Amino acid sequence: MLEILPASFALFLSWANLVAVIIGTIIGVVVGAIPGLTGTMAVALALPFTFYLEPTTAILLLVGIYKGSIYGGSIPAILINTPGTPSASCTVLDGYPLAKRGQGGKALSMALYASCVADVISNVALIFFTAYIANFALKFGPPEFFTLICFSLTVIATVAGDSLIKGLLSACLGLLLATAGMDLMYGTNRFTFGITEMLSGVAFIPIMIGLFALPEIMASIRKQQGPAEVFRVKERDWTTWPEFKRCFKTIVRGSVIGVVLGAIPGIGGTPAAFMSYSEAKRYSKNPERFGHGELEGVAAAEAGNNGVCGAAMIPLLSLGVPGDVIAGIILGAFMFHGLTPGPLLFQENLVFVYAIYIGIMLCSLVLLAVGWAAIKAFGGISRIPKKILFPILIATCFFGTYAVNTQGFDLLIMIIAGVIGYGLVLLKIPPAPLVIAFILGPLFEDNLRRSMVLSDGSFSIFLRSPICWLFLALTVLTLVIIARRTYRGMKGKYVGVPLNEG
Amino acid sequence: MKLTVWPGGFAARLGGGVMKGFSLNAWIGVGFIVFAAFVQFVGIPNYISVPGNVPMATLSPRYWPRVICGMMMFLGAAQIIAAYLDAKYNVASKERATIGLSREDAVKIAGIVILLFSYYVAVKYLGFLISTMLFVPVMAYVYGERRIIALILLCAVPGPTLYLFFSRVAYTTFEPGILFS
Repeated sequence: MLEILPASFALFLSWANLVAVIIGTIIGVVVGAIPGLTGTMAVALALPFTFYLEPTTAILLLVGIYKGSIYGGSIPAILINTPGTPSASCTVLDGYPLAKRGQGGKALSMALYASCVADVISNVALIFFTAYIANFALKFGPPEFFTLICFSLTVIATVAGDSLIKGLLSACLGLLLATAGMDLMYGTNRFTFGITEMLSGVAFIPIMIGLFALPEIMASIRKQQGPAEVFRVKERDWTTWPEFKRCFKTIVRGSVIGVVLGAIPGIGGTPAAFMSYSEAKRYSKNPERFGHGELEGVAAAEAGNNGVCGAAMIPLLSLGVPGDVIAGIILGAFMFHGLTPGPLLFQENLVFVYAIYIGIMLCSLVLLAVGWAAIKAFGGISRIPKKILFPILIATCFFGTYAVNTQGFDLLIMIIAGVIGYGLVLLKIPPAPLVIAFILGPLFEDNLRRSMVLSDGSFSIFLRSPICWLFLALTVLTLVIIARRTYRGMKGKYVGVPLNEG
Repeated sequence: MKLTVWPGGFAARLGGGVMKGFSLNAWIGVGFIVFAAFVQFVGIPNYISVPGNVPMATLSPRYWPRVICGMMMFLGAAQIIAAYLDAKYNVASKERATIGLSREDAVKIAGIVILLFSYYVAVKYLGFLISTMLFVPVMAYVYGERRIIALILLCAVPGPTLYLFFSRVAYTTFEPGILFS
């Protein structure tokens, strides 16, 4: 490896590559910060432009956009309770309460630092552990995926807030909503109500924007808004070194979770963010603060979703299997330039691979600089009066939602989700479990059915491998902890309290 | 502690005091049970088609929705029990829901929702550009903006800017609107 580094540096060190990394990261952060626009969209749009570039430059531009967009989604999530990208849905939980307390700068800077550290860890995993992680990912079949998703669903208990039952009810709504569309196995219609647009199911972006952004906008009409300063990103209100040190373990833990989940094709950043959050809350000395503006919650969420970035490239580079949709688009760029990801890539184009690694590491540094600038630029949003900001925001949400599938039906879904979301807020039913269940539900059902086909209906297939045992054991352990905590809570509430005779 | 609870209070008047302890949290449980039962017995049989050659129950397109509805009914019942226990032991729990929506607030929220639906309909008939140029200043007016200059700028700037960005940069194709097509 060491002998090819000089050649890789020589290949990487060109103005075109440096500019591609910087421009790509800037585009990614800007796109990620606009609700409705996603990194997937930005990478897909940039792909044709890369056909005229050198292979290294092309890949680095797309990777820069990818990494920038994952961080960029946290900016509106923190400032205006609207995740810019799906994977920032978890950042909302603690980021927005922090912004409402006037600590938006702290939340944004912690999100940035956590993103950069997670990015570096993810890149290191990509560079040094590709073979091991890829081998581990190869062992995942439908039963392993199913048990992993079972464990992931226990995260719902963490984000259920003060009422576990209401959180689970919200999750059931999300699971039910996710069943709408064409059945993947038999191609029959489920809850399509004869509407053609429903055949592809309910899109995630309209649900996400409707559930998070619109209720906040609706709620703001009720009360006289406090001074705009309450949301202001204060000039010197950034994360301090002691605060960063306190959260460092959480960031590393979240990054590892992101790396492991990102290397498994089909999982994505959102479950990784929520799982990282859940584990952070479990290990925290102040778990009751999570969901009410805990900086560690922001760190965990961002570490989880950024840890996925580099790891999603692991199956792509080593096996030619994209880890997520964006990696799939990057695969297209590879193919166009005559490069075939997989074992052959490491044999025939090792210099190119290491040049990409160098560029990816530089991306993390560039992200830090671009993120700083973005915080200052977007922080200005908090100074705009709500009476001007919210109408423009609603219009942006409409445009962004429409841009996903260019169908007006998604706008209707978004509005209905907004009304439901506001209802959930009034009834103190948390929306986060609905979002998690909406994402994980289809994976859960799909892998359950595939496993049943493989095993001819026998549930013993879920005990077929150590990976299955591991995730089942983790699931059972988590459920026991939840049950114990709930029992203790009930005992504390009801035992020794005088009855209400009235 | 007397809670200003609607529709718990409404139910109390209806039930002549019988339902006095039936807090909003309990109604949430009832609501979910009713919804789940509706989906289970009306929605699934009528809106999920099943092919004739499904070899086992777990593979049926109806299997997973039925499981979800079952879970929802169970949790709805648990919610009612939890609400009953809260009332019985006079627990002022944080998760106890109170809508606390005054008539004035309800009208404002309804107005916002109507505006959003109107924006959606306007997009269908007028297209994104014109409907956004109309919607943004109207929404700003509803939120309290009264300066004419500001309203004119809100009409002229955000709509065309967003339209240009999404059509030229994001390559989004916008339908012209039924009236212009």
